[in-house]
Amino acid sequence: MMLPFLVVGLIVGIYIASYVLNRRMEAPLEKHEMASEETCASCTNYSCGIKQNMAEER
Amino acid sequence: MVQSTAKKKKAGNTYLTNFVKGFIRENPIFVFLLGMCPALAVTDSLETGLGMGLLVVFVLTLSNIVVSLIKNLIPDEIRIPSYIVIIATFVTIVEMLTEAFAPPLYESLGIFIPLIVVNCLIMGRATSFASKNTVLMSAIDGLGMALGFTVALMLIGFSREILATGAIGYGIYLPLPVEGSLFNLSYALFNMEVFVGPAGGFLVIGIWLAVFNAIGQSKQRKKEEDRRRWIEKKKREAAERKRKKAMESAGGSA
Amino acid sequence: MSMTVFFVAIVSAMLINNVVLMRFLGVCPFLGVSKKSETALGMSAAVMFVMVVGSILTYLIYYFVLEPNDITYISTIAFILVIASLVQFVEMFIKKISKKLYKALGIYLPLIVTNCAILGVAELNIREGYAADYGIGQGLLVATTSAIGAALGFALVIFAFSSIRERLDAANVPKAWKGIPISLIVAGIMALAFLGLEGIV
Repeated sequence: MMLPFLVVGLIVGIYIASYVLNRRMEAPLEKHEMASEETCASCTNYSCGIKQNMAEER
Repeated sequence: MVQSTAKKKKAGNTYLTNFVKGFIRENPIFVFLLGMCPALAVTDSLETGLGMGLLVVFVLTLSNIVVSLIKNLIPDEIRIPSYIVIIATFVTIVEMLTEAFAPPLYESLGIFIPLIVVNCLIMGRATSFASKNTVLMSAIDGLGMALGFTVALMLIGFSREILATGAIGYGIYLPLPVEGSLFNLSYALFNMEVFVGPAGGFLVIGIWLAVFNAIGQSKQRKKEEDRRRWIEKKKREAAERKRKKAMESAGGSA
Repeated sequence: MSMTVFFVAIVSAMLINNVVLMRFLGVCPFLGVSKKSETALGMSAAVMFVMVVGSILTYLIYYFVLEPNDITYISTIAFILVIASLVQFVEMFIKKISKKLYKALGIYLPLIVTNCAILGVAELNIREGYAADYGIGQGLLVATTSAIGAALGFALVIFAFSSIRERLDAANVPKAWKGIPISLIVAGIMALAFLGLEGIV
């Protein structure tokens, strides 16, 4: 009965741990070279592709 | 008293504009190009488009409400992971409900029900709107945006279905004016099956986007024209005034 | 099991049921990062790696954790979280080992979590029932092969599309069709061309 919650809880735990670890590890790139992580993770296409292209075109 | 009603009216207006914006001005598909995968894949008929849209309405409204409720509880560092968990939970619920209560829809949508999780629209609204606004506002925003998404899916589904089969949705055919009379026309003569296939999705969305672009551009042009005319008018008036003044001063001196 | 199974799996996933043009998975990056062929290649390399490893992991989790315990209904939430954590681990790993590799692929990795092709291929591998057809062990091989095929198909289409778009930039397109609308029409024509490959296998 509790098993699905345990499994999901475990995977959520792994994910959040890996996410936090990854965020704390500094990137070998300068900040401005990366597209903003939040907007990219929230929406692939609009934030990171088309919006940028539109900005370039203007 | 008067002030408070005015305030209320204004608040009502912001609710309304917040609700309506998803339909045309900030339409997820035609303006922001969000959620293109379902927009292409499940719009071969009006019916499946509507079904997909309603599932998104459910998920987006509820996830917006929950995200907005817990926006102060979750630490900033794990915001995106928690949004993914919330959205995935609601999608699982929706998946189970559809399987139980609408098996034909579940069959026809196939893998695109679990793929609602990665629909850019839902994650985008959670990060850009629900995480910054009140619960009621977020619920209205989610409902409006998702309904705008639904309307767009229905428009695409309707165009594809009518081009491919001649039906106006749900397999209903309008009677052709000359059917069975002199020429014996039938829908089978006009069917363009390409529109029900994968290529049709790309073509129909491309054409609709171009149509909306053209409308937007002509509006823009009209606005610019109006502005230019207004500026010219003002300039002429100013010149007139200057001339009058000059005439007057010349007359005075003479 | 003969080699034909693998050959059929790879050709079918790459050309006949192309992820982007026939199954409509990963349309967002297809339109978003296909402006230059260089970015298209970077994106497809990142997608390829995550797609193959991701479908192996989700397959294993499905058949060794979810199915024996009869909790397959949590597969959606489990799959997306597994893929998301995989992406985090890959990003950390790349950060650690090579600055150059990170420069080439780093910006595409955050985008991959919300790429429907990855989750879609993982789901499809389960729904196609490879495990029932070939047994769990060999089913894994077939599933991996078709994931490789799907990733190759994604790379092929996105690279071809970006090359077309580079040429399209120089073309004199009517103003209303500029940008995305004409790209969608091009994609539609490409889908028509791929329709001709139906029936090869």
